[in-house]
Amino acid sequence: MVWRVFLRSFAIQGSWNYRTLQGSGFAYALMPVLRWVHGSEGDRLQDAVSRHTTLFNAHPYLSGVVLGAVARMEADGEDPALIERFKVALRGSLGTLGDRIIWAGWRPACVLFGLLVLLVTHSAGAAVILFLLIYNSGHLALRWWGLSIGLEHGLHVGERLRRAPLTRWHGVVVPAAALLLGAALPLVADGALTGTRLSAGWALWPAAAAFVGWRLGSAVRGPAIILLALIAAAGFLFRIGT
Amino acid sequence: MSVAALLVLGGIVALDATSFGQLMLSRPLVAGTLAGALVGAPLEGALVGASLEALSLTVLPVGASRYPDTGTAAVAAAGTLGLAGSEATAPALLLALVYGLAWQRVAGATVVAGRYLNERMVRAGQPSRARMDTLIEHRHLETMLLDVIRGVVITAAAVMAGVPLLLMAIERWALPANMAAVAIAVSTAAVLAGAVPLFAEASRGRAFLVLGLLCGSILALIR
Repeated sequence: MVWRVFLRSFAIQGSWNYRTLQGSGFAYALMPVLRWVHGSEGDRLQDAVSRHTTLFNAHPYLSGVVLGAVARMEADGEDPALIERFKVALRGSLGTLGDRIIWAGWRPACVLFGLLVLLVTHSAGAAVILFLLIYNSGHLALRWWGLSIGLEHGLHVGERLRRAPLTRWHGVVVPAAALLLGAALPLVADGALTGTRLSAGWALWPAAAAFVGWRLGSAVRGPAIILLALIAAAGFLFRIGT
Repeated sequence: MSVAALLVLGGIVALDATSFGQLMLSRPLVAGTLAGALVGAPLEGALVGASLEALSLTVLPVGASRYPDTGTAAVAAAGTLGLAGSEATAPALLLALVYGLAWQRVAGATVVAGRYLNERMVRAGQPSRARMDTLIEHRHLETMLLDVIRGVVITAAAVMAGVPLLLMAIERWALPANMAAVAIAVSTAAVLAGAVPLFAEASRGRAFLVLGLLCGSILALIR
């Protein structure tokens, strides 16, 4: 049954919507436990399903922590109101934690590694395979670990989370990402993404753009895309003009 | 045959982005490379995917935020470039990249529409509460199936519109090829550098960034 919940946790965002967010996905993932605890039919099961389709949102990789803990609490016959309060208390912090260590840490670090492999080796297969293997080794381990500690500690999983090495792990990933970003920038500025090599004079433009990007942060994305669109359009206008 | 495989890939990538797995098959680097391989242009697909990837690095799918659908856009751009049979010149890569960026917006809008549809589907039938367990399971699987169909349809539309458009655009391109290469280098370098604050706020991060810049400069010199 643990395996079924684990596999279903991959689909927790399957019916993601703006009203309950992951709500019905949470009930879907928990269903094997609810049927085991409350029977395969009857009002108790329907009540339990109804309770777990309410609003829920956490980082998908860490949602297993809540799934496991709630499975344990349902099996232990805890008060439904307590279970609901527990879910509300944990969902926000797990969302923030996951966004920080995965979306803003592990994922960009692995992406930069994949990019660097492509730019250095020109092997698309190696870049993709290495990226997927490294990223998903961390991803799958985190999912399994989250579900396991949830099942093991139930209501007290918060204390276990505080002792978890996630912040230390993030402290290693972020400098590694900085190193990879630094290594990728000169190659990208040199024209490696088009398989060409820019002359020294032309390469000054990307270098200047990188400086602007560093100062503007993520706000530079919009102007950078507009620039690309303008150059693409200029290709036609130049022809018309001549 | 390769077109059919491309459409299936579009469906898988759409599903992976949010609904099931999040194994990062939907990252532009992966989706673009796979799409390119399916239409016989793996390196071209990888270069388009890598450029889209660099331009998406600072996009974070936090909470209920709305963001471009980069995965299906990478399939669309790389698939279109491969099916057009064009050489991987800088202008061709630039035009495919701009097409992919435009398609991100279209595909992103369908993601939002799909989420509203999910809400209606999940709510439908709930008031009766009769066999709510099976209802939730069926609705959940149906919404995931719809996401796959969305990906297939988006990819089909992108390829149908994109191949003639790209061929026409490549044929009429009149600027020096170097301009296209510089434009891609400028944009991607700017967006990648925009990610510096994510990783190099602390002094340790800055030290690693400088070390990386040194290594990258050496690699750029010897490549």
